[in-house]
Amino acid sequence: MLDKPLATFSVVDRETNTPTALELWSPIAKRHKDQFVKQWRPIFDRQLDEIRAKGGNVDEVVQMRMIQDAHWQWASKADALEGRLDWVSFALEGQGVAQGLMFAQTAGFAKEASQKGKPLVKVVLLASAPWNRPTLAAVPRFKSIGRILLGAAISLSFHEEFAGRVGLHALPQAETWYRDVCGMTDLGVDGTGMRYFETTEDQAKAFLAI
Amino acid sequence: MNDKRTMTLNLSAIEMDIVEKLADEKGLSKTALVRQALRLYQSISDRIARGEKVFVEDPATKDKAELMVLS
Repeated sequence: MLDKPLATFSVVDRETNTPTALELWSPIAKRHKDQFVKQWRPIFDRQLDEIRAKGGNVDEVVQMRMIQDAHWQWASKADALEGRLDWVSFALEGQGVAQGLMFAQTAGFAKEASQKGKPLVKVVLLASAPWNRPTLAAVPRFKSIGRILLGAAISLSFHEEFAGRVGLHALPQAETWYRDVCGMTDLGVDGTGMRYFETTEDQAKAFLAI
Repeated sequence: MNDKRTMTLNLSAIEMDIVEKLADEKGLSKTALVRQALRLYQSISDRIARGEKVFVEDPATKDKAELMVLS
């Protein structure tokens, strides 16, 4: 466990309109797991209870509110992966709370034609805190959580000599963001039923230069 | 990101040829290649130790072969 953050980013708290330092930590610390359980999880649980109480198509509403990750057990997953060399976890912390979390795998291989078979970082899960999501908060507190964490995955890829190659499966509501804003290559829907995206070295450099 | 330690790795000529060939193909230094190999080896060993089976599949025939890790 590092005793200092990997990097610090200044992001405006949109509730108070003041610049706030967000620190990037790796791996996820016990305090981040506790914050997920005590602060993120109750919000997800309330959302799920409300959706179930209303009836109808639960999956559709879950997708609309962008809480497909509500069931994810960050704490137990992080514990299970401790000591594994092929997994890296990140927490983006601000105001003493995890504002975003990410799990990435460093033992994957690229699929895009120009880099097929070369190693890449696979982002397995990237999530921002519920109060930062436009579907759950009237004024999402921090923007750019996803951008900072994806940037961390790309930086990790360069650090590991993977030339910025990053791959991920996107949730439906995030597909246009990865394709049009992040400039990732869309490799279509694969066997997982989700759309798969990848960065090439040039795309990774362009992303970090923004 | 972690502290680095140094070791000397003694390889036969053919093993070194393979390390160099793979490093060239994957665009990695020899150090990065060995680190990547260690990750994959640990990942497969852990799965097998947990009782899981690891398979490779022929994309054309869909034939599956089980990977064995000799411990």
